[in-house]
Amino acid sequence: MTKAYPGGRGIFDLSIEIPAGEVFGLLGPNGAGKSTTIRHLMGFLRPDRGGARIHDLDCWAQAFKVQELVGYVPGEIGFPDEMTASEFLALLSGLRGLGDSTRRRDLCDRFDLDPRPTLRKMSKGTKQKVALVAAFMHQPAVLVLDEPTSGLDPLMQRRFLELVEEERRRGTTVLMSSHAFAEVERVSDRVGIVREGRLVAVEDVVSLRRMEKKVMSVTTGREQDVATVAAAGFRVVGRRHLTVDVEVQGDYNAFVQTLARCDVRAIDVHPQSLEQIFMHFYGEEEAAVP
Amino acid sequence: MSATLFASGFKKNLRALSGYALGMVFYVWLFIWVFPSFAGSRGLNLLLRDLPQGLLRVLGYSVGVSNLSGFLGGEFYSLLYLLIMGVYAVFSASRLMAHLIDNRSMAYLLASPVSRGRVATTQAMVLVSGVLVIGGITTAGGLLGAHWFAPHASLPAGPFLALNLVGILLFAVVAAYSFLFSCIAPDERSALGLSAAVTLLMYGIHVVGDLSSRVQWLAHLSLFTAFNSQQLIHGQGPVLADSLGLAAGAIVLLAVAVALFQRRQLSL
Repeated sequence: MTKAYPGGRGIFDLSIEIPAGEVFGLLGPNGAGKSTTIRHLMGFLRPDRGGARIHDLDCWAQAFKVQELVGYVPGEIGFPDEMTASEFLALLSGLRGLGDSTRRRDLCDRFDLDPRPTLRKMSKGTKQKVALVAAFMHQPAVLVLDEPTSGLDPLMQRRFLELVEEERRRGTTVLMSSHAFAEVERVSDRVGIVREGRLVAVEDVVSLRRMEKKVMSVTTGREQDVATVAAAGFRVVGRRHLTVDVEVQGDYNAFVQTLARCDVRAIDVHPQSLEQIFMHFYGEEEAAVP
Repeated sequence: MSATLFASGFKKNLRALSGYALGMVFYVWLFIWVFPSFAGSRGLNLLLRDLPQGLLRVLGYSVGVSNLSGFLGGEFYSLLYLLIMGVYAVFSASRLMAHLIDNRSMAYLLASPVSRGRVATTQAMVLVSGVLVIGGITTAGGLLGAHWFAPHASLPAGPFLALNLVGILLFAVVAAYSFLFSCIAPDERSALGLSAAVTLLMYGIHVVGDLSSRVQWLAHLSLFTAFNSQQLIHGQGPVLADSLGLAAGAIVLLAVAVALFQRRQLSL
Protein backbone atom coordinates (compact mmCIF):
# COMPACT_ATOMS: atom_id res chain seq x y z
CA MET A 1 0.00 0.00 0.00
CA THR A 2 0.94 3.60 -0.46
CA LYS A 3 -0.75 6.47 1.32
CA ALA A 4 0.97 9.82 1.07
CA TYR A 5 0.17 12.73 3.34
CA PRO A 6 1.30 16.32 2.86
CA GLY A 7 4.73 16.93 4.38
CA GLY A 8 6.22 13.66 3.19
CA ARG A 9 4.50 11.54 5.81
CA GLY A 10 2.51 8.41 5.17
CA ILE A 11 3.35 4.86 4.13
CA PHE A 12 5.10 3.99 0.92
CA ASP A 13 5.04 0.69 -0.99
CA LEU A 14 4.52 -1.09 2.26
CA SER A 15 4.03 -4.79 1.64
CA ILE A 16 3.56 -7.50 4.25
CA GLU A 17 1.96 -10.91 4.12
CA ILE A 18 1.08 -12.59 7.38
CA PRO A 19 0.16 -16.27 7.12
CA ALA A 20 -2.78 -17.54 9.16
CA GLY A 21 -1.83 -18.41 12.70
CA GLU A 22 1.26 -16.22 12.83
CA VAL A 23 1.96 -13.58 15.46
CA PHE A 24 3.55 -10.64 13.69
CA GLY A 25 5.11 -7.70 15.51
CA LEU A 26 5.18 -4.36 13.74
CA LEU A 27 7.98 -2.32 15.23
CA GLY A 28 8.94 1.25 14.67
CA PRO A 29 9.46 4.58 16.36
CA ASN A 30 6.54 6.98 16.86
CA GLY A 31 5.31 8.44 13.60
CA ALA A 32 6.83 5.66 11.49
CA GLY A 33 3.49 4.68 9.96
CA LYS A 34 2.40 1.76 12.14
CA SER A 35 -0.99 3.24 13.02
CA THR A 36 -1.58 4.40 9.46
CA THR A 37 -0.96 0.84 8.27
CA ILE A 38 -3.39 -0.51 10.85
CA ARG A 39 -6.09 2.06 9.99
CA HIS A 40 -6.00 0.73 6.44
CA LEU A 41 -6.55 -2.79 7.73
CA MET A 42 -9.58 -1.56 9.66
CA GLY A 43 -11.07 0.17 6.62
CA PHE A 44 -10.82 3.66 8.13
CA LEU A 45 -8.49 4.85 5.38
CA ARG A 46 -8.34 4.10 1.68
CA PRO A 47 -4.84 3.68 0.23
CA ASP A 48 -3.72 5.86 -2.69
CA ARG A 49 -2.29 2.78 -4.33
CA GLY A 50 -2.47 -0.90 -3.54
CA GLY A 51 -4.73 -2.40 -0.95
CA ALA A 52 -5.06 -4.59 2.10
CA ARG A 53 -6.89 -7.88 2.38
CA ILE A 54 -7.84 -10.01 5.36
CA HIS A 55 -9.11 -13.53 4.62
CA ASP A 56 -9.37 -12.45 1.00
CA LEU A 57 -11.74 -9.58 1.80
CA ASP A 58 -10.86 -6.06 0.75
CA CYS A 59 -10.29 -4.00 3.88
CA TRP A 60 -11.82 -0.82 2.43
CA ALA A 61 -14.65 -2.05 0.22
CA GLN A 62 -15.73 -4.92 2.47
CA ALA A 63 -14.77 -3.36 5.78
CA PHE A 64 -17.81 -4.50 7.75
CA LYS A 65 -17.32 -8.11 6.64
CA VAL A 66 -13.68 -7.87 7.67
CA GLN A 67 -14.81 -6.62 11.09
CA GLU A 68 -16.64 -9.87 11.72
CA LEU A 69 -13.27 -11.60 11.77
CA VAL A 70 -11.22 -8.99 13.55
CA GLY A 71 -10.66 -7.87 17.12
CA TYR A 72 -9.11 -4.41 17.31
CA VAL A 73 -7.30 -2.31 19.88
CA PRO A 74 -6.88 1.27 18.64
CA GLY A 75 -3.62 3.09 19.21
CA GLU A 76 -5.37 6.10 20.65
CA ILE A 77 -8.43 4.98 22.50
CA GLY A 78 -11.59 7.06 22.65
CA PHE A 79 -14.73 5.89 24.39
CA PRO A 80 -18.25 7.30 24.56
CA ASP A 81 -18.05 9.64 27.58
CA GLU A 82 -21.18 8.89 29.55
CA MET A 83 -21.24 5.10 29.37
CA THR A 84 -20.04 2.65 31.97
CA ALA A 85 -17.59 0.01 30.76
CA SER A 86 -20.25 -2.71 31.11
CA GLU A 87 -22.76 -0.74 29.06
CA PHE A 88 -20.10 -0.13 26.45
CA LEU A 89 -19.01 -3.78 26.28
CA ALA A 90 -22.67 -4.83 26.18
CA LEU A 91 -23.26 -2.46 23.26
CA LEU A 92 -20.32 -3.92 21.33
CA SER A 93 -21.52 -7.46 22.12
CA GLY A 94 -24.96 -6.46 20.87
CA LEU A 95 -23.52 -5.06 17.63
CA ARG A 96 -21.73 -8.39 17.14
CA GLY A 97 -24.80 -10.38 18.08
CA LEU A 98 -22.98 -12.13 20.93
CA GLY A 99 -25.43 -13.82 23.23
CA ASP A 100 -23.01 -15.27 25.72
CA SER A 101 -21.12 -12.95 28.08
CA THR A 102 -18.99 -15.64 29.77
CA ARG A 103 -15.86 -14.79 27.82
CA ARG A 104 -16.32 -11.08 28.52
CA ARG A 105 -16.58 -11.73 32.26
CA ASP A 106 -13.56 -14.07 32.18
CA LEU A 107 -11.48 -11.40 30.50
CA CYS A 108 -12.58 -8.74 33.00
CA ASP A 109 -11.52 -11.08 35.82
CA ARG A 110 -8.21 -11.77 34.16
CA PHE A 111 -7.39 -8.11 33.86
CA ASP A 112 -8.79 -7.26 37.30
CA LEU A 113 -11.25 -4.95 35.61
CA ASP A 114 -14.31 -3.63 37.40
CA PRO A 115 -16.55 -2.59 34.50
CA ARG A 116 -19.11 -0.71 36.59
CA PRO A 117 -17.63 2.84 36.66
CA THR A 118 -18.17 5.27 33.79
CA LEU A 119 -15.45 5.20 31.16
CA ARG A 120 -14.74 8.91 31.55
CA LYS A 121 -13.63 8.41 35.14
CA MET A 122 -11.25 5.54 34.37
CA SER A 123 -7.46 5.85 34.38
CA LYS A 124 -5.49 5.32 31.18
CA GLY A 125 -4.45 1.81 32.21
CA THR A 126 -8.01 0.81 33.09
CA LYS A 127 -9.29 2.14 29.77
CA GLN A 128 -6.64 0.05 28.06
CA LYS A 129 -7.99 -3.03 29.84
CA VAL A 130 -11.49 -2.22 28.57
CA ALA A 131 -10.05 -1.93 25.07
CA LEU A 132 -8.38 -5.34 25.41
CA VAL A 133 -11.58 -7.00 26.64
CA ALA A 134 -13.45 -5.43 23.71
CA ALA A 135 -10.90 -6.80 21.24
CA PHE A 136 -10.71 -10.34 22.63
CA MET A 137 -14.25 -11.01 23.82
CA HIS A 138 -15.67 -12.38 20.57
CA GLN A 139 -12.71 -14.73 20.02
CA PRO A 140 -11.86 -13.30 16.60
CA ALA A 141 -9.83 -15.15 13.98
CA VAL A 142 -7.59 -12.11 13.54
CA LEU A 143 -6.34 -9.65 16.14
CA VAL A 144 -5.13 -6.21 15.11
CA LEU A 145 -3.53 -4.57 18.12
CA ASP A 146 -2.08 -1.07 17.96
CA GLU A 147 0.28 -0.56 20.92
CA PRO A 148 -1.86 -2.88 23.05
CA THR A 149 0.15 -2.66 26.27
CA SER A 150 0.42 1.09 26.51
CA GLY A 151 -0.58 2.23 29.98
CA LEU A 152 -0.59 -1.27 31.47
CA ASP A 153 1.50 -2.05 34.54
CA PRO A 154 4.10 -4.86 34.24
CA LEU A 155 1.80 -7.47 35.80
CA MET A 156 -0.99 -6.69 33.36
CA GLN A 157 1.49 -6.59 30.49
CA ARG A 158 2.45 -10.15 31.40
CA ARG A 159 -1.19 -11.25 31.57
CA PHE A 160 -1.71 -9.69 28.16
CA LEU A 161 1.26 -11.56 26.68
CA GLU A 162 -0.06 -14.82 28.19
CA LEU A 163 -3.38 -14.12 26.52
CA VAL A 164 -1.72 -13.55 23.15
CA GLU A 165 0.21 -16.79 23.64
CA GLU A 166 -3.09 -18.64 24.26
CA GLU A 167 -4.57 -17.08 21.16
CA ARG A 168 -1.57 -18.18 19.13
CA ARG A 169 -2.09 -21.75 20.32
CA ARG A 170 -5.74 -21.44 19.29
CA GLY A 171 -4.57 -20.52 15.79
CA THR A 172 -5.42 -16.82 15.88
CA THR A 173 -3.49 -14.56 13.54
CA VAL A 174 -2.11 -11.53 15.35
CA LEU A 175 -0.69 -8.24 14.12
CA MET A 176 0.64 -6.22 16.98
CA SER A 177 2.43 -2.90 16.79
CA SER A 178 4.85 -1.57 19.31
CA HIS A 179 7.80 0.70 19.70
CA ALA A 180 9.48 -1.69 22.14
CA PHE A 181 11.18 -4.82 20.87
CA ALA A 182 11.13 -6.42 24.32
CA GLU A 183 7.35 -6.30 24.23
CA VAL A 184 6.84 -8.14 20.96
CA GLU A 185 9.80 -10.49 21.00
CA ARG A 186 8.30 -12.81 23.60
CA VAL A 187 5.21 -13.66 21.60
CA SER A 188 5.99 -12.81 17.98
CA ASP A 189 7.08 -15.26 15.32
CA ARG A 190 8.28 -12.51 13.01
CA VAL A 191 8.92 -8.84 13.38
CA GLY A 192 8.68 -6.16 10.72
CA ILE A 193 10.43 -2.87 11.20
CA VAL A 194 8.85 0.28 9.80
CA ARG A 195 10.63 3.55 9.45
CA GLU A 196 9.45 6.71 7.76
CA GLY A 197 6.58 4.83 6.20
CA ARG A 198 8.69 2.07 4.69
CA LEU A 199 9.09 -1.52 5.76
CA VAL A 200 12.85 -1.74 6.18
CA ALA A 201 13.15 -5.29 7.45
CA VAL A 202 11.19 -8.41 8.24
CA GLU A 203 13.03 -10.88 10.43
CA ASP A 204 12.05 -13.89 12.41
CA VAL A 205 12.44 -13.30 16.09
CA VAL A 206 15.04 -16.05 16.56
CA SER A 207 17.48 -14.45 14.14
CA LEU A 208 16.73 -11.02 15.47
CA ARG A 209 17.59 -12.24 18.94
CA ARG A 210 20.80 -13.68 17.59
CA MET A 211 21.63 -10.29 16.15
CA GLU A 212 20.74 -8.49 19.32
CA LYS A 213 23.71 -7.41 21.35
CA LYS A 214 23.37 -7.48 25.09
CA VAL A 215 25.66 -5.65 27.45
CA MET A 216 26.47 -7.89 30.40
CA SER A 217 27.78 -6.24 33.56
CA VAL A 218 29.75 -8.88 35.43
CA THR A 219 30.85 -8.19 39.01
CA THR A 220 33.52 -10.56 40.22
CA GLY A 221 35.15 -11.25 43.55
CA ARG A 222 38.76 -10.88 42.34
CA GLU A 223 40.73 -8.39 40.23
CA GLN A 224 42.11 -11.19 38.08
CA ASP A 225 38.60 -12.34 37.07
CA VAL A 226 37.95 -8.93 35.58
CA ALA A 227 41.03 -9.48 33.45
CA THR A 228 39.87 -13.01 32.51
CA VAL A 229 36.47 -11.74 31.27
CA ALA A 230 38.06 -8.80 29.51
CA ALA A 231 40.55 -11.07 27.76
CA ALA A 232 37.97 -13.62 26.58
CA GLY A 233 37.41 -11.87 23.26
CA PHE A 234 34.24 -9.87 24.01
CA ARG A 235 34.15 -6.17 23.31
CA VAL A 236 34.68 -4.38 26.61
CA VAL A 237 32.47 -1.31 26.84
CA GLY A 238 33.07 -0.32 30.46
CA ARG A 239 35.14 -1.16 33.48
CA ARG A 240 34.78 -0.11 37.13
CA HIS A 241 36.88 -1.67 39.90
CA LEU A 242 35.52 -5.28 40.12
CA THR A 243 32.89 -4.86 37.43
CA VAL A 244 33.37 -5.22 33.70
CA ASP A 245 30.78 -4.49 30.96
CA VAL A 246 31.09 -6.66 27.88
CA GLU A 247 29.00 -6.89 24.76
CA VAL A 248 27.63 -10.37 23.96
CA GLN A 249 26.01 -11.09 20.62
CA GLY A 250 24.80 -14.66 20.09
CA ASP A 251 27.91 -16.33 21.56
CA TYR A 252 26.34 -17.11 24.92
CA ASN A 253 28.17 -20.46 25.27
CA ALA A 254 31.58 -18.81 25.17
CA PHE A 255 30.35 -16.23 27.63
CA VAL A 256 29.05 -18.79 30.14
CA GLN A 257 32.23 -20.87 29.83
CA THR A 258 34.33 -17.83 30.59
CA LEU A 259 32.22 -17.00 33.63
CA ALA A 260 32.54 -20.59 34.87
CA ARG A 261 36.23 -19.92 35.48
CA CYS A 262 35.51 -16.82 37.56
CA ASP A 263 34.16 -15.99 40.99
CA VAL A 264 30.99 -14.26 39.81
CA ARG A 265 29.19 -12.14 42.40
CA ALA A 266 26.54 -10.50 40.18
CA ILE A 267 25.43 -10.28 36.58
CA ASP A 268 23.31 -7.50 35.13
CA VAL A 269 21.88 -7.77 31.63
CA HIS A 270 21.15 -4.61 29.65
CA PRO A 271 19.13 -5.45 26.56
CA GLN A 272 19.62 -3.16 23.62
CA SER A 273 17.14 -0.45 23.00
CA LEU A 274 15.13 -0.59 19.82
CA GLU A 275 17.24 2.24 18.42
CA GLN A 276 20.33 0.14 18.90
CA ILE A 277 18.76 -2.82 17.10
CA PHE A 278 17.61 -0.45 14.38
CA MET A 279 21.22 0.57 13.81
CA HIS A 280 21.73 -2.77 12.22
CA PHE A 281 19.05 -1.98 9.65
CA TYR A 282 19.46 1.71 9.18
CA GLY A 283 23.21 2.09 9.31
CA GLU A 284 25.08 3.76 12.11
CA GLU A 285 24.97 7.34 10.87
CA GLU A 286 21.20 7.38 10.29
CA ALA A 287 20.32 5.81 13.59
CA ALA A 288 22.55 8.01 15.70
CA VAL A 289 19.68 9.09 17.88
CA PRO A 290 20.44 9.75 21.51
CA MET B 1 -30.22 0.71 10.51
CA SER B 2 -28.94 -1.20 13.54
CA ALA B 3 -31.55 -1.70 16.28
CA THR B 4 -28.87 -2.18 18.97
CA LEU B 5 -27.11 1.04 18.05
CA PHE B 6 -30.40 2.93 17.77
CA ALA B 7 -31.52 1.78 21.22
CA SER B 8 -28.19 2.77 22.74
CA GLY B 9 -28.11 6.14 20.96
CA PHE B 10 -31.71 6.94 21.79
CA LYS B 11 -31.18 6.03 25.44
CA LYS B 12 -28.10 8.25 25.58
CA ASN B 13 -30.06 11.04 23.92
CA LEU B 14 -33.05 10.60 26.22
CA ARG B 15 -31.86 12.82 29.05
CA ALA B 16 -31.18 15.79 26.78
CA LEU B 17 -34.35 15.03 24.89
CA SER B 18 -36.55 15.10 27.98
CA GLY B 19 -34.93 18.40 28.99
CA TYR B 20 -35.86 20.00 25.68
CA ALA B 21 -39.34 18.49 25.66
CA LEU B 22 -40.09 19.52 29.25
CA GLY B 23 -38.78 23.03 28.53
CA MET B 24 -41.09 23.28 25.53
CA VAL B 25 -44.14 22.09 27.46
CA PHE B 26 -43.31 24.43 30.33
CA TYR B 27 -43.15 27.43 28.02
CA VAL B 28 -46.20 26.55 25.98
CA TRP B 29 -48.19 26.16 29.20
CA LEU B 30 -46.82 29.42 30.52
CA PHE B 31 -47.96 31.21 27.37
CA ILE B 32 -51.40 29.61 27.51
CA TRP B 33 -51.69 30.50 31.18
CA VAL B 34 -50.85 34.19 30.69
CA PHE B 35 -53.01 34.49 27.54
CA PRO B 36 -56.28 35.55 29.25
CA SER B 37 -54.58 38.61 30.76
CA PHE B 38 -53.30 39.66 27.30
CA ALA B 39 -56.55 38.97 25.53
CA GLY B 40 -58.39 41.20 27.98
CA SER B 41 -56.00 44.08 27.34
CA ARG B 42 -57.65 46.37 24.80
CA GLY B 43 -54.74 48.78 25.06
CA LEU B 44 -52.31 46.22 23.68
CA ASN B 45 -54.51 45.44 20.69
CA LEU B 46 -54.90 49.14 19.97
CA LEU B 47 -51.16 49.63 20.20
CA LEU B 48 -50.55 46.70 17.84
CA ARG B 49 -52.97 48.19 15.35
CA ASP B 50 -50.86 51.34 15.16
CA LEU B 51 -47.55 49.58 14.45
CA PRO B 52 -46.34 49.14 10.82
CA GLN B 53 -47.34 45.82 9.20
CA GLY B 54 -43.72 44.81 8.50
CA LEU B 55 -42.74 45.12 12.11
CA LEU B 56 -45.85 43.23 13.18
CA ARG B 57 -44.95 40.39 10.82
CA VAL B 58 -41.50 40.17 12.38
CA LEU B 59 -43.01 40.22 15.85
CA GLY B 60 -45.59 37.66 14.72
CA TYR B 61 -48.62 39.79 15.46
CA SER B 62 -50.00 40.46 12.02
CA VAL B 63 -53.50 39.49 13.14
CA GLY B 64 -53.45 40.81 16.71
CA VAL B 65 -53.81 38.85 19.94
CA SER B 66 -57.53 38.50 20.27
CA ASN B 67 -57.48 34.69 20.27
CA LEU B 68 -55.22 31.99 21.75
CA SER B 69 -54.22 30.69 18.30
CA GLY B 70 -52.93 34.08 17.26
CA PHE B 71 -51.17 34.57 20.55
CA LEU B 72 -49.36 31.20 20.44
CA GLY B 73 -48.55 31.57 16.77
CA GLY B 74 -47.18 35.06 17.32
CA GLU B 75 -45.44 34.57 20.62
CA PHE B 76 -44.37 31.02 21.20
CA TYR B 77 -44.06 29.59 17.69
CA SER B 78 -42.31 32.58 16.17
CA LEU B 79 -39.34 32.63 18.53
CA LEU B 80 -39.02 30.28 21.51
CA TYR B 81 -40.16 27.22 19.60
CA LEU B 82 -37.66 27.98 16.82
CA LEU B 83 -34.91 28.60 19.33
CA ILE B 84 -35.39 25.40 21.34
CA MET B 85 -35.85 23.16 18.30
CA GLY B 86 -32.91 24.82 16.55
CA VAL B 87 -30.60 24.34 19.52
CA TYR B 88 -31.61 20.69 19.82
CA ALA B 89 -31.13 19.99 16.11
CA VAL B 90 -27.77 21.72 15.82
CA PHE B 91 -26.23 20.36 19.05
CA SER B 92 -27.51 16.81 18.73
CA ALA B 93 -26.41 16.56 15.12
CA SER B 94 -22.85 17.49 16.02
CA ARG B 95 -22.83 15.13 19.01
CA LEU B 96 -24.09 12.16 17.03
CA MET B 97 -21.30 12.12 14.43
CA ALA B 98 -18.59 14.81 14.67
CA HIS B 99 -18.19 14.34 18.41
CA LEU B 100 -17.65 10.60 18.02
CA ILE B 101 -15.12 11.16 15.24
CA ASP B 102 -13.40 13.85 17.29
CA ASN B 103 -13.03 11.73 20.42
CA ARG B 104 -12.27 8.63 18.33
CA SER B 105 -15.03 6.50 19.81
CA MET B 106 -16.32 6.18 16.24
CA ALA B 107 -13.49 3.66 15.81
CA TYR B 108 -15.45 1.24 17.96
CA LEU B 109 -18.64 1.57 15.96
CA LEU B 110 -16.75 1.08 12.72
CA ALA B 111 -14.74 -1.83 14.14
CA SER B 112 -17.99 -3.69 14.70
CA PRO B 113 -19.52 -5.64 11.84
CA VAL B 114 -21.99 -2.84 11.04
CA SER B 115 -21.34 -1.03 7.78
CA ARG B 116 -20.58 2.69 7.76
CA GLY B 117 -23.82 3.31 5.91
CA ARG B 118 -25.81 1.59 8.64
CA VAL B 119 -23.93 3.40 11.43
CA ALA B 120 -24.63 6.80 9.84
CA THR B 121 -28.25 5.96 9.00
CA THR B 122 -28.85 4.83 12.57
CA GLN B 123 -27.36 8.01 14.03
CA ALA B 124 -29.50 10.06 11.62
CA MET B 125 -32.58 8.18 12.81
CA VAL B 126 -31.68 8.90 16.46
CA LEU B 127 -31.44 12.59 15.57
CA VAL B 128 -34.67 12.81 13.60
CA SER B 129 -36.60 10.74 16.14
CA GLY B 130 -35.53 13.33 18.73
CA VAL B 131 -37.06 16.14 16.64
CA LEU B 132 -40.19 14.05 16.34
CA VAL B 133 -40.38 13.36 20.08
CA ILE B 134 -39.86 16.99 21.11
CA GLY B 135 -42.28 18.24 18.45
CA GLY B 136 -44.85 15.58 19.33
CA ILE B 137 -44.70 16.24 23.06
CA THR B 138 -45.02 19.99 22.41
CA THR B 139 -48.09 19.39 20.25
CA ALA B 140 -49.75 17.22 22.88
CA GLY B 141 -48.69 19.67 25.61
CA GLY B 142 -50.22 22.60 23.70
CA LEU B 143 -53.57 20.89 23.18
CA LEU B 144 -53.75 19.64 26.77
CA GLY B 145 -52.60 23.00 28.14
CA ALA B 146 -55.28 24.87 26.19
CA HIS B 147 -57.86 22.45 27.48
CA TRP B 148 -56.74 22.81 31.09
CA PHE B 149 -55.65 26.42 31.45
CA ALA B 150 -57.74 28.29 28.89
CA PRO B 151 -60.87 26.21 28.24
CA HIS B 152 -62.75 29.18 26.84
CA ALA B 153 -60.07 30.34 24.44
CA SER B 154 -60.08 28.99 20.92
CA LEU B 155 -57.31 26.73 19.70
CA PRO B 156 -58.67 24.70 16.80
CA ALA B 157 -56.90 21.34 16.74
CA GLY B 158 -56.60 20.99 12.95
CA PRO B 159 -54.54 24.12 12.24
CA PHE B 160 -52.54 23.60 15.45
CA LEU B 161 -51.60 20.10 14.30
CA ALA B 162 -50.68 21.43 10.85
CA LEU B 163 -48.50 24.10 12.44
CA ASN B 164 -46.66 21.50 14.50
CA LEU B 165 -46.30 19.11 11.58
CA VAL B 166 -44.63 21.79 9.46
CA GLY B 167 -42.52 22.79 12.49
CA ILE B 168 -41.30 19.22 13.00
CA LEU B 169 -40.49 18.84 9.30
CA LEU B 170 -38.72 22.22 9.23
CA PHE B 171 -36.45 21.10 12.02
CA ALA B 172 -35.98 17.71 10.41
CA VAL B 173 -34.37 19.72 7.60
CA VAL B 174 -32.30 21.82 10.03
CA ALA B 175 -31.22 18.56 11.72
CA ALA B 176 -30.45 17.03 8.32
CA TYR B 177 -28.08 19.73 7.10
CA SER B 178 -26.49 19.90 10.57
CA PHE B 179 -26.01 16.13 10.32
CA LEU B 180 -24.42 16.57 6.91
CA PHE B 181 -21.92 19.06 8.37
CA SER B 182 -21.37 16.68 11.27
CA CYS B 183 -20.44 13.90 8.83
CA ILE B 184 -17.93 15.90 6.83
CA ALA B 185 -16.49 18.56 9.16
CA PRO B 186 -12.90 18.07 10.32
CA ASP B 187 -13.92 18.41 13.97
CA GLU B 188 -16.89 18.90 16.26
CA ARG B 189 -16.39 22.63 16.67
CA SER B 190 -16.48 23.37 12.98
CA ALA B 191 -19.53 21.13 12.55
CA LEU B 192 -21.30 23.00 15.32
CA GLY B 193 -20.17 26.41 14.05
CA LEU B 194 -21.23 25.70 10.48
CA SER B 195 -24.67 24.38 11.43
CA ALA B 196 -25.31 27.24 13.84
CA ALA B 197 -24.14 29.83 11.29
CA VAL B 198 -26.35 28.48 8.50
CA THR B 199 -29.36 28.32 10.83
CA LEU B 200 -28.87 31.86 12.16
CA LEU B 201 -28.28 33.17 8.66
CA MET B 202 -31.52 31.63 7.42
CA TYR B 203 -33.42 33.01 10.37
CA GLY B 204 -31.88 36.44 9.82
CA ILE B 205 -32.81 36.43 6.14
CA HIS B 206 -36.35 35.44 7.06
CA VAL B 207 -36.62 38.31 9.53
CA VAL B 208 -35.19 40.91 7.15
CA GLY B 209 -37.30 39.62 4.25
CA ASP B 210 -40.41 40.07 6.39
CA LEU B 211 -39.58 43.65 7.38
CA SER B 212 -40.32 45.38 4.11
CA SER B 213 -41.89 44.47 0.82
CA ARG B 214 -38.81 45.83 -0.99
CA VAL B 215 -36.66 42.97 0.33
CA GLN B 216 -39.39 40.38 0.48
CA TRP B 217 -37.67 38.33 -2.24
CA LEU B 218 -34.96 37.60 0.37
CA ALA B 219 -37.43 35.59 2.42
CA HIS B 220 -37.64 33.03 -0.37
CA LEU B 221 -34.02 32.13 0.33
CA SER B 222 -34.82 31.08 3.86
CA LEU B 223 -36.14 27.76 5.08
CA PHE B 224 -37.99 29.54 7.86
CA THR B 225 -40.34 31.15 5.34
CA ALA B 226 -41.98 27.73 4.98
CA PHE B 227 -42.98 28.03 8.63
CA ASN B 228 -45.31 31.02 8.77
CA SER B 229 -46.72 30.32 12.20
CA GLN B 230 -49.38 33.01 12.03
CA GLN B 231 -50.78 31.73 8.76
CA LEU B 232 -50.52 28.08 9.67
CA ILE B 233 -52.28 28.44 13.00
CA HIS B 234 -55.17 30.18 11.28
CA GLY B 235 -55.52 27.32 8.86
CA GLN B 236 -53.86 29.12 5.96
CA GLY B 237 -50.79 28.33 3.90
CA PRO B 238 -49.87 25.42 1.65
CA VAL B 239 -49.46 22.82 4.41
CA LEU B 240 -49.29 19.79 2.16
CA ALA B 241 -46.86 21.27 -0.35
CA ASP B 242 -44.63 22.67 2.41
CA SER B 243 -44.66 19.37 4.29
CA LEU B 244 -43.81 17.30 1.25
CA GLY B 245 -41.07 19.71 0.22
CA LEU B 246 -39.50 19.78 3.69
CA ALA B 247 -39.70 16.00 4.10
CA ALA B 248 -38.09 15.46 0.70
CA GLY B 249 -35.39 18.01 1.54
CA ALA B 250 -34.58 16.27 4.82
CA ILE B 251 -34.39 12.85 3.18
CA VAL B 252 -32.12 14.06 0.38
CA LEU B 253 -29.78 15.87 2.81
CA LEU B 254 -29.54 12.81 5.08
CA ALA B 255 -28.88 10.51 2.12
CA VAL B 256 -26.08 12.80 0.92
CA ALA B 257 -24.64 12.89 4.46
CA VAL B 258 -24.60 9.08 4.69
CA ALA B 259 -23.04 8.74 1.24
CA LEU B 260 -20.28 11.24 2.07
CA PHE B 261 -19.55 9.54 5.37
CA GLN B 262 -19.15 6.21 3.60
CA ARG B 263 -16.38 7.68 1.48
CA ARG B 264 -14.69 9.68 4.20
CA GLN B 265 -11.12 8.89 5.24
CA LEU B 266 -10.94 8.65 9.00
CA SER B 267 -7.79 8.85 11.09
CA LEU B 268 -9.36 7.21 14.11
